[in-house]
Order: sequence, then C-alpha cells, then structure tokens
Amino acid sequence: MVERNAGHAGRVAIITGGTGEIGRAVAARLLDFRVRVHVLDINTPGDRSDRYAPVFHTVDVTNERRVEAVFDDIARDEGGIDYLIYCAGIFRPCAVIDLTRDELARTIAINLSGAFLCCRAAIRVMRTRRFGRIVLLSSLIARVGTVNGAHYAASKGGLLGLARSLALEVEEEGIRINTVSPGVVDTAMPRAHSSDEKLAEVGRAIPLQRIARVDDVAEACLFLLDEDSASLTGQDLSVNGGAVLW
Amino acid sequence: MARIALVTGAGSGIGEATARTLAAAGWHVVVCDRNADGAEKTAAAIRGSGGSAEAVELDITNIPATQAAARELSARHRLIEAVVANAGISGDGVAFEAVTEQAYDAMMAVNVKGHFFLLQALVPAMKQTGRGSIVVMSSMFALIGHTSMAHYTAAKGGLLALSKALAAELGPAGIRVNAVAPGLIRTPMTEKNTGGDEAVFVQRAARIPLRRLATMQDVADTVAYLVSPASAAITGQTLSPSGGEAFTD
Repeated sequence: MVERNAGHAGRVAIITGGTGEIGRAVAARLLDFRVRVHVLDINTPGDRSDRYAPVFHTVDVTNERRVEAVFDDIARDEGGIDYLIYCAGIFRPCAVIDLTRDELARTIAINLSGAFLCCRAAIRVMRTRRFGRIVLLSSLIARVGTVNGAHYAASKGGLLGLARSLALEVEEEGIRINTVSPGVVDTAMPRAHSSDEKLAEVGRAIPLQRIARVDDVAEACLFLLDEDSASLTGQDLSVNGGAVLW
Repeated sequence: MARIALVTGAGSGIGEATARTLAAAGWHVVVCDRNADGAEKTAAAIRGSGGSAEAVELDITNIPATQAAARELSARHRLIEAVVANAGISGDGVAFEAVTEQAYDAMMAVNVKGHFFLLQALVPAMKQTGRGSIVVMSSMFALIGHTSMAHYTAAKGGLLALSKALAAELGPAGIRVNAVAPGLIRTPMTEKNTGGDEAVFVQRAARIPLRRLATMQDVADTVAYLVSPASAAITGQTLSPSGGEAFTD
C-alpha cells in the first residue's frame, strides 16, 4: 500500500461529528500518524479506546458564534489548522408530505450550513499558512435520491456544490477541498432503520457483495488528506462497492 | 511474496511513472510495451532502485498474441492481481472532419479493443483467486469534451464505460475496476504534440484551480491508491488528477 504520510505528524485536524462511527474511525487513523486531533461534537464521547485521545470540544455546528470561537481557540493553541473533516450529519427519514419546517431546517442546518460555517472558519486560518485539506462527507443519496429522504439528499447534494465552489475560491492558496460520498455504511444510522437481514440483502445486491465499513470511508478521507491526492480538488470520491457506477 | 501488477504502455510517460510507483510500493511489476527497449529500460530502472520487475514486449493491437501472452503470464505468475490499462496513442489537434478511418481504427485498436481483449484473458485467473484490481487510463477530456480530438475522446470514453461495465460484472467475483481520467499531463507524448511549445502548458496551468498541471507522478499515485487495499470498497468510480480542472461526476 502506498503511504507517503510522513507529513501528517504534528499537523492539526478538526473532525466534526467526531464521536460518530465514521468520525471516530478517521480520528483513529489520524492519531496513528501522530496528528493532533480535535473532535467537535454536540454529544459527549462514549467509550474511549487507548488510542482514541483527541481533544474534545462540545460544539453545536449550527451555532455560528460557537464555531468561530472554537476554531479561533484551536488555531491559537495549536498555531494553525491543517485538516478539516466534516462528518456531522443527521438523517430522520420522513416523507416530504409529512416533513415539518423544523425538521427540514434542522437537517439543512447540521448537514450543510454547519459545513459552510466550519469551512469558512477553517479557510480563514488555512489561508494564512497557505496550507489546508478539507474533506466533507456527502452521500450517495445526494446523486441518486431516496424515498423519505429528500431533505437529507438535498443537504448532502448541497455539500457537493459547496466543495466545488470552495475549491475554486481558494485557488492559489494551497488548500484542497474534496468530498467523500459513501453508500450504505455499516453504522448505527442504517441499523436504526433496517434489520440485519435487510442490510445483508442490500450488501448482496452490490457488485462487491458487501456494504461499506467505516474503515473504508476513513481510508478514503485519509487518501484525500495525504499527498497521494495532491492534484485532486473539487472531486467526489464515492465509496459504495459499485452500488452506483455514475 | 510480492503481489503482481501488470502495466501496459509502461515503457515511457505515465505508464513508466506508474510502474515505478507500484514497484516502490512493493509490487512486482510486469512492464509491458510494444517498444521492447522502452519496457526493458523501465524494468531495469526499477531493479536498479531495488524493486522487482520484468519487461514484456506486448503490442496489444495483436489480439491473438496478446491473449496468448496474457495466459502465459497468468500461468507463470498464478495471479496478476493488478492491471493498469494505460497504453494509448494521442489524437490531439485533429479536426473532426480530418479524422481518417485509419486513424480512427488505430485509436480504437489500442485504447479500447486491445485492452478489452487483454483484460478478457487476464480475468479468469483473477476470478479463480477472487482478487483483482483493474485501473483503466481514460482522460479528463472524455468527461468534459474537447475540440480537435474526437476519436481520442471517443476511445477514452469507451474505456471509461468499459470500466463501469466490468465493475458491475466482475464485482461479485471480487474484482474492482476503476478509471483514472487525467487532465493535461506533461509527458513525452504531449510534449511531442505541442511541438515543444512551453506556452501551451503554462497557459493551461494558469487556469487550473491548483495552478499547476497534474504530473505523471500525481497520476501514478492515483493509480496506486486504486489498486491498494485502502480503496477496497471503491469500484466503478473515476478519479481525475487534473488540479481541479474537471470535477468528476
């Protein structure tokens, strides 16, 4: 496996939604490479393994002032911010007809607006040192849609447009911004809505015969953070076992 | 024991950079090229750097010979686990109306037909072991279009579509298939096309988000990722090392 990751050591990463399963997997990989990891989440962390020792901050990513304050604190304490990985997200399936304005607003706020706020705060810091790597977690659903998930699909689709626009806006500033679009990932989120049997059935319908694991998604994030992807920006990396080939 | 990767068109340019990068990552590389000297030069350079490689003269437009060579290599190596379908010829600066049937056929013969039948001959061994990763070298221009290269774009688009069809069909057998769609890269081939005109490369770089052309190494690194275990859940996808010039999908 190609790993030119000597550059990761000592860098500073912020992971939003970092107590979720994908966020934890990304954090664990970065900690392996001796990155200084800061986890932002509205939830307090659950069980911690020995390796899971990031700095934890309670943050509601929809709270603009809180986001600005935390990014300022981290930048000041660490001397800068190198990586932002945006994993914060919610999905409460609901038919459009029954969707309340509050539920719609909440989904957009956490999944998309929060990403906007965090990217803005990160870029302010990254551009002063002309270095930055941002990965936003979108979703397969952004492109293919899903019943009872129009609000989720719209929020995740917004991340694709956001990433591409930001990639253009930070031209010449040493900052790369990309998205990762997982299909179904074996985490609590799909398990909340689907039985084991249903998920196994979903896996069998996929060319690679399995749904993705959190490690698959974490590896995709790592690729986009390291120098092996040095010429990739504004790109979407789909991790879906071939479930969707376009 | 080293895992085996086969790279076509590895005697120069992107293929050579890819072969070297895979060798540095621990693969034994079967360096294929229709130019025997080029293949041997790449293999020798790899061995000189402490890597493992063998050179094979292979003209993939000769279908029977290519399939025979592929079967012989598969038998000798038991499993060629990674295949980089990179060999290709350029078709730059040719107006659509000026493309001859001969030029069209030559373009399709190398890019699409040759790789189609090479992969067909290599896949049985991959299926037996349930492991494989194929990367086809398409082009950013197949995604976004370009003037004066209609037959090239059509061929690179054909390769791209083939990668998706194979991803669907071979996925259940444990074989992943992805595409790399580079933007303009400075290679011996493209330098010949511009007649050594620096301005072409400089002007293009100035318009790219990352303000530099992607390099052969960038392309090689993208390929290396797609054949590595790190991308185990990724198939049927396209990555475009292009400095941001093409946002894929």
